[in-house]
Formats: sequence, C-alpha cells, structure tokens
Amino acid sequence: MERRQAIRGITILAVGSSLLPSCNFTGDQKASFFSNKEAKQIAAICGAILPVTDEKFKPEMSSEAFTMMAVEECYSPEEKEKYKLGLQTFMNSATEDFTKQGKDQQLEVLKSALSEGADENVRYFVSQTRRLILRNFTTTKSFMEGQRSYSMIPKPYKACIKIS
Amino acid sequence: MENYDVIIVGAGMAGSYAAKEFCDAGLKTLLLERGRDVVHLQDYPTTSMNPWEFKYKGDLPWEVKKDIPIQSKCYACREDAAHFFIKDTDHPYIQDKPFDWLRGYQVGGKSIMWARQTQRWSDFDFEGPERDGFAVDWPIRYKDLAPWYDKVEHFIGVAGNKDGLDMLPDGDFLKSWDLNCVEDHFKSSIESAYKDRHVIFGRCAHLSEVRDIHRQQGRTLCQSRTLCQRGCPFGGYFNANSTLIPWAQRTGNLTLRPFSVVQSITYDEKMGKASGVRVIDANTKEEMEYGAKVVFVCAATINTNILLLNSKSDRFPNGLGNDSGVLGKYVAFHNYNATISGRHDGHLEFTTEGRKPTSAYLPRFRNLRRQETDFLRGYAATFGASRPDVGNSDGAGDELMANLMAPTQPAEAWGVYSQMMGETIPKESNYVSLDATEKDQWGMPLVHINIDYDDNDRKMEQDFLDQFSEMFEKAGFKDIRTATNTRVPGNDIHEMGGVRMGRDPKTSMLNGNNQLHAVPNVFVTDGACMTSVSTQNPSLTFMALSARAANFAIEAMKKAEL
Repeated sequence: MERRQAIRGITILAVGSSLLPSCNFTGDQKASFFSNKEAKQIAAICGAILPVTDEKFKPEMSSEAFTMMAVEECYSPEEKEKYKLGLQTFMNSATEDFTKQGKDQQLEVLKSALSEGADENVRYFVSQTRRLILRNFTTTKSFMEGQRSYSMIPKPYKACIKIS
Repeated sequence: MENYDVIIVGAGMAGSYAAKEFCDAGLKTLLLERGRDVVHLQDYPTTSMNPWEFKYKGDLPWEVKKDIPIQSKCYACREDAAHFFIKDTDHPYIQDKPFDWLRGYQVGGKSIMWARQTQRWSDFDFEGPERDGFAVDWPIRYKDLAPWYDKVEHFIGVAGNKDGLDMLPDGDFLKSWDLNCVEDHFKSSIESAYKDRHVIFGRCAHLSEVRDIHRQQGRTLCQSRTLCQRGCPFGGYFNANSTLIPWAQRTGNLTLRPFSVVQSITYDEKMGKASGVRVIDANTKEEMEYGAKVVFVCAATINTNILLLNSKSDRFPNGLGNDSGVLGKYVAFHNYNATISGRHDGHLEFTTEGRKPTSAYLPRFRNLRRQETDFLRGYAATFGASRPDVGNSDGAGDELMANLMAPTQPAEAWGVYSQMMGETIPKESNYVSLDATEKDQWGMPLVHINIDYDDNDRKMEQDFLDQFSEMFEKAGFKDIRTATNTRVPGNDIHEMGGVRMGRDPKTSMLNGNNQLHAVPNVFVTDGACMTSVSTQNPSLTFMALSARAANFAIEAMKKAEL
C-alpha cells in the first residue's frame, strides 16, 4: 500500500469512527474482551512494531498476550472502551487486511496511525499498544540482564566517575 | 478485663518507639494496631522480586486501582508495594476540601514505605511560633529534645555528614553517601553566591555502616537497592518491623494485638484519669476493653484526632482533654506544591554508577534569622542531579529492535530537579471534625477534613520558584522549567497538629511532656502533637518526642505519679 493510501485510510476511519455505536464492555465480557479476530490483529501489530526474531530475547509473555492482558486487567472501563474503539476503527478502516500486508506496508500504516492527522482513538490504540510492547520487552529477564546489566543489588554507588 | 501498665494505640514509628522504651523498662505493654501484622522478612512478599516477575510490570490491575483512587496518588503505591496501603473504599472520609489522606494500616504503619528522611529540628523551628506570632509557643526547645534525637538516631541508624549548620543540627551519624559532581557544583555555586544557603546530603535512616546496636537488631548494610517500599531483607533502612517491634518482643513485656480498632479512651471520673481503651476487633467487630495506668496515643495524626474527639464523657463532652476547644484544629502540613527542573550541559565527562537511597538537601534559608519577605516562615528543598544511561526506543520494526539492542549511553546532559518543602501555618480554619451521623463499618464516625492552602502558601511557592530559578541560573543550568499546583494537601503525608503542645491549657491540648493537660495519664506523641510543622521531614522528631515522653512516664510511674 502506498503511504498516501494508508493516510487516506486513517482519515476515512476518523470519520467512520464517529458513526460506530458506543460499546459497553462490562461484566462477563472480561473473559473474552478481545475476539479472535481482534487478537490476531493485535498480534500482527505487535509483530510489526517489535519483531522479536532472536529466541534468546523472546519475552516471558508474548507482546500480544501482555498487551491484551494489560488492557483487559489494568485499564479503566473508559480506557478499555477507547482502546477497543480505536482497534475496531483501525480494523474497519483498513482497505487491506493488516495481517496480510507486507512488513513495509504495515509500518507505513502504523506510522500514519500515529501521525497528527490520524483519528484520536486509532492513535490512542496504536500508541498504547506500542507502549505496552516496550514495557513488556524492556522488563524481560534476558533484556534487562543481557542488554542493560540489571542487578537487583547494584554496584556500590560512585558519585562521580570519568567516562572512558 | 485485661490490665497492662501501658497501652499504646498505633504500631507505627511513634507507637513502636514508645513500646520499645516501656518494654525495656520492664513495663507490661499492650500495643494495639488497627491493621494486620507485618512480620519483618516474612511479610515482604515482593522484596526479592525482579522486574520481570511482576505480572503487570509495575502497573496495578483495575480491580485494585478502582478501590484506591487516593492511595494510588502516592509515588510508592505501585504493584510492588500497594499491599502496604489501605483500600480507600474500606476507609471512607469526607473531604470538605480536597485532601489526599494516605495511609498504611498495619504493624509498622507507614514506616515500611516512608521516604526515610531524618533531619533534626532546631530552635529556629521551636521558637518560630513565638518569634513570628502564629500558633502558640512550643513548650520545649531544642535542648530538651537533643538527647532524644541522639538516642533515636543511634538506635535506628542515620547516615549523614556533620555539616555544622545551626538550622539543622548534627547528630552522631553513620557515614554519608556523596554528592555527585553536579550536586557538588551546585553546592559550590550556591555557597559562594549566598551567605546563608547550603547544599548538603540529606540525612537518611539507612545503614551506610553497621554498628553493634544494629547487629543486635539483626540488620546489615544498606545495599542501595532503592526498593525500600517493599520492606528490606537486609534491614538496610529503618522501619519499625525490623527494629523496634522485635526488640520490644524480645523483652517478653510486649503484647501486640493487630486488628484492633480503638473506639475510645475510657475515662474514670472518680479518679480523674483515663482507665483504658475500648476496642473493636477489626475482623469480628467484637467489642472489648483493656485497662492501663498510662495510655499513649500514636494512631497517626488524623486518627489520633478522631480517637480523642470520639472519647466523650460527662467530663469531656467535646472529646477527651478538650477543655480548650482546640482539639482537631490548627492542623498543618508541608507544602510540596512547587517544583523546578533544568538541564546542565557541563561535567559531561562524568557520570555516576550504582544507586543511592536519597538526595541532596537545602535547609531552610528564607526568613531564617529575620523576616525578609511578605510571607511567614520558609521552605527547605530537595535537590538532585542525575545523568541516567538512556537507550533509544524510537522507530518501529527492525529499526526499533536495533535501537533497543544498542548499548545505552549517558544522557546528553544532566537533569537537575528541586522540590520545595514549605512550612504551612497552623490555623483554626484548618481542622478535622467528626460527622454527626455517618459511620464506618466499625461504627467510628467519619471524619471531615477541612484543610487547604492559603495566601501565605501561594506567596511561598512563588518565592521558591523565583529563588531557585535564580540559583539554577547562577549554577549555569539551562532550560529551566517550573511547576505549581501539582498536589493537594495531604499528598505530602506530613499532616500534623490538632492535639497541639503548648504552655497554656486554655490554648493547647498537651503540655511539654506530651501529656493531656486535663488527663495526665494520656500522652500523644505522633504528628497530632505538633504545635507547628517546620520544614523538615517529621518522623525523626515524632520518635524523639515518643522516646522522651515514654521515659518521662516511666519515671513518673516509678514515683507513683501516674
């Protein structure tokens, strides 16, 4: 998909989103807050935003599983509704199934979704997903210990060291 | 009815310190705590958890968050320590004006997740009300409390430097952590530009070295994990659970009763003194009474006020000891409502390594030796400079992964930050009172909290921002940004007063030994007793007052005067 097409898609969905019925995600819906189709969409977005190909750095919980759990269990009802609305708007507005797009096309779509002119709910959905992916990945054992030299008991405090 | 020599209400810092003193003196002591027990080491479920072991990676589930809208405003109330905060929905109160009442109902109280700052008061603080004409004169001076500061600091362990400042007296400190090079630069800049402004390393209740008294408590060196709010497996910082309570228990003189909501202090009209307390079991709601020769009230400021207001009798229809009518009034707090930040482009060849448990500190300088401004009193301030290693999380796809995997680099510049800790003026119009009809699940009247900033506070905030902008500029800091209106009262967690000390029973509740003027076998030694609030973090002073009052009571009991 051309970048221009992607932006047009996001602009269209901005209009479309205002026509969507309001959602009421309460009560028993907790167990199935995301449909299979939505879960696949989130997984595709997670894979596009942060493709973890090195087995060594696979998070303890996959990006999509953590993202969906965090939204479902940590967000307020209003935040959940906004996230879901953004997700649905994102899906409904796509001129082509995101999960079947190539890597470059996916990244263009996501870039557009985060741009200034994008629909507010879509931007919220994508930015929150990105935030949760990063939180999950950067707190994994392999990343913290392997890439960030994390230790619960740090080296003794040195107030001033010269950078070599 | 069970009888004890002493009953202490509240097992936080103040109450636990009193318990240790009484138990050391051989007195049978009942320590009542409305919350659950928290046993050192055993009840710190998250203390050794790594970041990846937390299900939500730091956030709280909505099922928890929705019930703690006030507590979750506290910086320490996150996934790793939220279990040490109360559930707001279980403990309602009435905010006549916005007030964040932050609470930890458990053995150890807020000492588990406190910020561990331990600055002494000086006579600039104790003489403040008399000099500046507000509140009432403190019935004590620094010399009265100094030996008790020594005693408490020795026992709990306080790291700091002997800075030789008359507004912030020194103690027998453990070695201090060091200022980093930018904090040192700021210190040099300020101390050369201003006669009476100082930058020191904040004194804090951490074991930077271990003395015999700490070994006796089973504690060892602070490891600078900076995970203190979870409870420390090393006992590296002071909390009541690792020190005072086990110490008192080892004497065999302590009876600790958690889940005990003290409904009222019972008053014997014939004897003209308190006879004990009426308790409601928090779980079973069963009512019971305990008797004692002496009652110490250390339930934390607002709960202490509630307890005294609710302790009514024919002799005291408006609350125990409340002949003056000041009970519940003249509550004050610390004004943390202004911050300043900036960037330092110098010292870029340096960085820091490891972590430290506290930061630099500027003792009060405003209106210290004379009145200089159109507002009363002044402020202390924290100061910190940091240059964290930063990673790059820009981009998406392979680019993002490559950025994340790249080594971190020291930040392009140092970040600098300061926050005011302002003294607010106790006023009759800042008060707490009991609702006539609404009660909590234990039958205790709900408290109305009617506390707000005033014009003096607003002027002080502006002065802090003006003075610190000037000081930041003198230090060469750039991109200076200021912020106000970041907090409502209460969020400082330093509410004090309502049962103030004073010389005159007509205008105060407590005498110089923390005894109720009208009921001498009842003592109040937590934040409620404070006549004014100064600028320093108050917990050290609460403990010093507790130790002093407990030892006064011990001597009086020996002479059969109580």
